[in-house]
Amino acid sequence: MARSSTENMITLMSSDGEEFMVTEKVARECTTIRNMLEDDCVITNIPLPNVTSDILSMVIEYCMEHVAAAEKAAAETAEKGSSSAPAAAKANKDLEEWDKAFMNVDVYTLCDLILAANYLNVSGLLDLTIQTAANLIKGKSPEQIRKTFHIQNDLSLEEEEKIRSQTPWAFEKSE
Amino acid sequence: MASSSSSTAIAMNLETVFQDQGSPKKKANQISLSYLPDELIITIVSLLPTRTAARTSVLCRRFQHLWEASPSLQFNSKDFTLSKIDQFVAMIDHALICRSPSQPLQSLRLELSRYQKIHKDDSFLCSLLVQAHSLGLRDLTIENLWCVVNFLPTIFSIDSLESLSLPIIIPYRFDGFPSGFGLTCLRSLSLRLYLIDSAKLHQLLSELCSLEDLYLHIKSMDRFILSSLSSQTIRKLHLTIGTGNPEFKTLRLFLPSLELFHLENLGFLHIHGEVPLLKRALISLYEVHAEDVNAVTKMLNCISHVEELSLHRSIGVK
Repeated sequence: MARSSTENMITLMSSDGEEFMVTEKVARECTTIRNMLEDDCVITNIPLPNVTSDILSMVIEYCMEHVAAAEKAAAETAEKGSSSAPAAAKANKDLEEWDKAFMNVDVYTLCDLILAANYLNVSGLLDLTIQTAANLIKGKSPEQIRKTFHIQNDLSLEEEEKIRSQTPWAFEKSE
Repeated sequence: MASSSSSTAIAMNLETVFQDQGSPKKKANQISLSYLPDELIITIVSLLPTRTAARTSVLCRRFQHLWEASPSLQFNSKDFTLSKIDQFVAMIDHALICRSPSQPLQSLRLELSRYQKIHKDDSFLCSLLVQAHSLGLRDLTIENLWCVVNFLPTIFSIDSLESLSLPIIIPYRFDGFPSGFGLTCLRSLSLRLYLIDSAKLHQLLSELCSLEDLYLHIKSMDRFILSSLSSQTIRKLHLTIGTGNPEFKTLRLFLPSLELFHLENLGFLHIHGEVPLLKRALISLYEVHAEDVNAVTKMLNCISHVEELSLHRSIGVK
């Protein structure tokens, strides 16, 4: 990662007391932090009591990758005067591939990331994690969804039957 | 509060954490789906087709009614066999017709390839659209409905719409778009047309006073005369033109706010335009003949001030 000495550094502190030093540009990817910086521009140390170090490091990794991709695209446009569509399409595809690989996590980490992205207001990461969770639900029976997400079923058989009978169309086998 | 350590130490710290991700780890408080706040679960459910979303009602007690609060409904008739098509109607009844007025509906997607098999008359679909209207619908997408012209007056009366995507409109029984409607919030419109003259389109665009984004797919240029497009507000135009007869047509653009122009499959078209704000132009040409070079040059002259231009040619110059 390119880092110029003039760039402001911000220290983010996780709930378990670990400190992460990032450039202001990376920190600003989190709208919650951007708003804090705009309210108080001299702030350099931000405690994040809702985010653990392992999740915060992943959020930072995501922000760094996306800032780097945006910078690379901007540099190419500046260099050539215009960006070529195939190169831009490839860069987009590369970033999508990176996102996809980044989402190769267990459901606990995924749900933690959803909470962190929501709290820090990283819209790209929130969209990505929410979509990943939705994709894990698609095409599964309720039993399979419970298993995937480790959901404890607290309904009795009778209660479940009653709920099913209210929306039979949801449980019909298709085709 | 602890003062910040040196950046090298932090960088090492980051590295260790990243390396740790591969190894299995035990967590004290494992958070899964059922620990997320309602609003986040509802957001996840809103990305699912309604039939799948409703399945979450039996996951556990807390999930029972969450799916009913989804701001987005997606109904696809293809999910049901013809013999079970009444189930499709029951789904729409439960999720939309009986929806509480306290739960506004943001987006509705209807795939109605079997509509003709569901109801002989138009009343069911009309009542569905009227209910969506009363819930303040903002985004409407309809796919695979051949008789969509029957519903245009109802669709165009949903004055809360910000985005509208319609299935292909064929000329049969089509007398033009309704006029005097109040789609004053509509920002995005996607239309697929087959052999329709530009006067009808012109009249439509003149009434859409907030339109920023227009996607226009014209299936065939035969007998189709699209002579001009004009709008004060359109910023993005995506124009796809199917095959046409080998006779040059001229398309005049009067789009003073246009910033992005995406043109695909330019059959035989001269483009003239007043597009002073155009920044990006993406042009894909599929059938380039020698005589087209002149047309392309002319077109490039009228958009010479763009910041970004991308030109594709799929088939070689003949």
